[in-house]
Formats: sequence, C-alpha cells, structure tokens
Amino acid sequence: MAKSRQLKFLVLLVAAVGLLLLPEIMAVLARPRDEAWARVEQADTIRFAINPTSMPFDGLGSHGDFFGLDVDLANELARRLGKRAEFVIAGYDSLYDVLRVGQAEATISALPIDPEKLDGWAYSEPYFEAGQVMVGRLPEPEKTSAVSIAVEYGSAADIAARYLARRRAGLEIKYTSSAADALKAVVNGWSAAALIDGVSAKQLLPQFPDLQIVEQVTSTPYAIAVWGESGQLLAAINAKLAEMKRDGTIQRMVEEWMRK
Amino acid sequence: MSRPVRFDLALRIGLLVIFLLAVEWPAGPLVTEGPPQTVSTNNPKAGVHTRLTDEDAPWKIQRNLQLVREMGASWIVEFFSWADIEHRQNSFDWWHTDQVIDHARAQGLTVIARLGLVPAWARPDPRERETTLNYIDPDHYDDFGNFVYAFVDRYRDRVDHIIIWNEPNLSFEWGLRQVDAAAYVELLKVAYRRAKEANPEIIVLAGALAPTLEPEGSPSGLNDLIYLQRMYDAGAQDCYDALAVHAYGLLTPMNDVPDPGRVNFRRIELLRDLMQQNGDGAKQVYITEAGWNDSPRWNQAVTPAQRIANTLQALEWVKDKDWIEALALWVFSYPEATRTFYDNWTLMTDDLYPKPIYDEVKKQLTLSRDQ
Repeated sequence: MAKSRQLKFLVLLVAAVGLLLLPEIMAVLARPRDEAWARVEQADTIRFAINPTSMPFDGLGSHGDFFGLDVDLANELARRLGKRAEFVIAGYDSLYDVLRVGQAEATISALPIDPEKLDGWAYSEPYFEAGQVMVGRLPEPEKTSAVSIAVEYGSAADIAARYLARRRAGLEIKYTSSAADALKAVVNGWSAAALIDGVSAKQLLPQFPDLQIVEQVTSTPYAIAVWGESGQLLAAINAKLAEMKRDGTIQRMVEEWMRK
Repeated sequence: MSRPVRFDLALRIGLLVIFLLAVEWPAGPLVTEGPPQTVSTNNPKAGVHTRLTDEDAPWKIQRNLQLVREMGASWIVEFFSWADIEHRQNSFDWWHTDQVIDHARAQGLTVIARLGLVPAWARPDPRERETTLNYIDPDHYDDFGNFVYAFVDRYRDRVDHIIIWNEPNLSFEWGLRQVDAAAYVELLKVAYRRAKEANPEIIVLAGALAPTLEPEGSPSGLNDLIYLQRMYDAGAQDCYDALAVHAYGLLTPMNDVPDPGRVNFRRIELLRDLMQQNGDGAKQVYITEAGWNDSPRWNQAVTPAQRIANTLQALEWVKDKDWIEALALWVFSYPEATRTFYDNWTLMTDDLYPKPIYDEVKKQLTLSRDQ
C-alpha cells in the first residue's frame, strides 16, 4: 500500500516536472538545424564574408590576397577548428545577408555589434574595442574634467566631445586637422587632453610616450557575426576566441597590425 | 432584489463603462503637423535623402523634417518599403507613410518616394529557399505593380515623383543574384504602366544606379554605364520620365573630370551622355544620392574638412545645370547609430544633433545675397 502510494507520487512528480519543462523540451525539439555548422563539418573550409576596404582590419592585394587583422584572426580561428579559412568578398550592405542565404558561414569585417541586428543574427564575444578614448599626459593624466579637449574637426571624436561639452560646463573643444595633431596638442600643452578613436589610439600612442589612455569614453566592440540559427558554430567560434585571448594570440595580432 | 439594490448595481456598471471608455478611447495625436511652413533657400535644387523608414516616433519624424527645412533643402528622397506597407497581400498599412509624407508637406518639402523591398508573401518560402528582401521573381512583378498603383493613387495630390527600385545594378539590391538589366526593365514597365494608371501626372524615375566599375560577370554587380545601355537595349526609354542617379565622390574632389574608368562625383555626366546618345536627352536627371564619407577607417573616405568642402562645391555646381532637377545628399540621419563608416555619411547624429557639415551646408543654403 505504502509502495503503491510512493509510486503514484513518483509518477505525479515526473509528470509535473515534465509539464514544467515542456516548453523547454519543445524548444529543443523545434530548434532549427544549424546549417552553417553542418556545412563546416562536411567541408575543409569555413567561409568568412569580408568587405576588404578597412585597414588595418581588412585589405585586398592586387593579386587577390587578403590581409589585415581580421584575416589573420579568421585564419587562426579556422586552423584551431581544424579547417581552412576561405574569404568571400561582400559589399558592406550584404555582410549580413550573405549569412542568411548561406553564401558564407561567418562575417568578420571590423563589424561592430549592432543591437538592431540581434533579431536575425548573433555575434561572437568581441575581439577589439574601437570606441573613443580620452588621452592625457603621464604621470598625472587628466580625466574628462579636463578644461580643454583637442579633437579632429568634424570627426566622431568631435561629435563625442560636443556631447561631453553639453553636459560639462566650461569644457572647451580645440580643433585640429587630424587625430595625430590632437595628440600633439596635448604634448605641446595647447590642450589638456585629446579625444580620439580606439584604432587611432592604438596606432598613434607608441609615437607619443608621454601620453596614455585615461578613459574609455564610448564603446564600439568588434565581433564576428553568424546567422541566428548557427548556435553550434557560434559556440565553437567563442571557444576558440577565448583560447586565443588566454594565450595572448589576439593581443599579439592587434599589436602587430596596429604598428603597420 | 429591491429597487435601491438594482439601482446601485446599474450605477456601478455605468461607472465601470464610463471608466473603460475613458481608458480605452483612442487618444488624439500627440504630434500635430502645425502651421504650413515654406523652405527659405538660395538653391532650390538642394535636397537630402532622409532615412525615416525605421523611425517610428512621430516627433522624431517631424524633427528630422523641420531640421531639413531649416537647413534650406527643398527636396527629400525617402524610402517606402513595400514589405512593411503591404505586409499581408492586399492589406495596406499607410500609417507610417502618412506620417512622413504629411509632415514633409507641412514643412514645405517636396517628396521623392523610393519604392522597393519585397514582402515575405511575394518571395519564395524560406523553408525551401532563403532570400533577401530585395529578391523579386517575374511572377510577382504584377504584385509590385499593384502596390505602385495603390501608393500613387493614395498620394495623388501629395507625391509627384517615385523611384522604382534602388541600385538594381548591384547584386545586393537585386536579391544577391547576378544583376539583370532586362529583368529590371520588365519590372519597370509594369510599375510605369500601373503608376500612370493611378496618376498620369506622376513622374517615374528609373535607375538610381550605383556608380561602380564592376566588370561583366562580377558577383557584386555591373558597371552603371554598361547597365544603363542594357536598359535602353531592353526598351527602357518608354517606361520612365527621368533618370535617378547616384553621385559619390569617394576619394576624389568634386571637380574631378568624368572618366569611364573612375568613380567620381561627375560620373553622372557620362550617364547623361548615354541618355543623349539614346535619344533621351530631353529627360531630366535627379541626383537622389550624393556625397562623400569622412570615416577615418574606410579606404574610400576623405577627411571631415574635405567632405565639407566637396559637398558645398557640389551644391554650388548643380545650380546652373539645366539638366539636373535636384541634388539630394546622402544621408540626413539614421534612426540609430550603425557604429560603422555608414555613420560618416550622415549630416546629423542619431540623436539629432547637427554635425559640423550640417552647419556649413545650412550656412551656404540660407545665406542671402546681401549677407
């Protein structure tokens, strides 16, 4: 009798848990097949869509050879997955749609994470930060409370500086004709700080040993995009990216390409 | 039940009905068009391509258009998506389109309506074949024609210009397929016929070709000069009233001379030559996209200062060209920042603060002769 009650209880418990988990079970069963991952598993290559117009990330030589940080990253990523990277040239407008129609498995093209795209596509963990940074003097760097900021006229840094100036009384914007000139303005004392984008900062700061990044003002993370149904491919890419971050591969590639 | 109790119940129900009506009754519009405005400008050909397609907030639509007027631009080119308007076949949702067109007219602006993007029901079943929003099969040309008819008919007194499709010489804009000028002309024929049935006075603009040097067989697209000739070969002459062109300077200054082997601002003169060679010289040209990009990363961009100088020169250059009806700069603003070099085409930030280029263009267009 007691055993029968226990059995009933167990059956009811299993049924209740099953009912509770039904939506999750249905979601797993209804999950679309990861076509991109299936293609990668069958082929020797991973096809990366790329718009080779943005150095030091994506370039195309006169003999059809691809080069740049993204190209090195994709090659290494593919190698660690036991594959070879193949590059598919796409117009900037079609970098996402080529994933939808299966002309490439992933897009790597200095691609900033765009929240608007998340309804159809997914991104890897970021591998580069390209947002605006405040640069000041060593050893007592000025923060954004600095009374003057040098920026290139009309640039994204100019727009970010105007935004700051609307919120911080007394902040003076000083205009220069390039990001490098904005840094020179700090060195020669004309301005307390400079606002430049993350790529320019990584490229130019080695030439200005007295200056350093003191604040990340805006964030523009670059990542690899895949079609939203490519969960397995995304997981594989993220695992290898994490590995490459841990062993310093990404850092080394970034430094190498920013020096060029 | 006694009478007072019944009265009490009726009173309660009555109050509940009044409460529900008060809560559920549709509110009036929060943003009204306001008094009609006029554009004050010294260059009636100046315009801008707005990008309000994804902009849902009426106040932001209105603010964009106010700022366009204040800049001294009389024309706007705006994109109206068939996919969004006729989401279900034969069921049209005009709410957003009404907002844009009515606010534009209230600001005294002339609207050039660009039509395109294919609804899901007019594309292959994605379970059989994934396609992009620019993909259209000949089987659905008549459906697009029906949409064109509905659009032109609805805005008969408000919109005088439409553009059929966008940059069909690019694979991306032709559904990621090999481009096909003859197929585009077939689509154009249907659209032209249906537009004229709805309003014989409508001006149908064709082309809006992308300036590109892509060679024959390229998976990305086809040279605009070759593509336009193919359009003529396929009988395009009788199915459009004016040519829409895109004039991008890329790395070159505004006055760089036209050359078939280069993409520059004045490449549009070569398209105009082709029109004349095909006996179409009497038709006007509308520059529906134009500009320079000032991204520090993109390898086809100039500096912000060069961008401003080139843009001001271009606006000045079109003034005495009797074959050019309008010049619309690409692009006024985006609803959201793209965080790519695309943001370096805009005149405003995504939160509608003017960039230096907006201030300079405004200064040029609104400066009176005696200032």
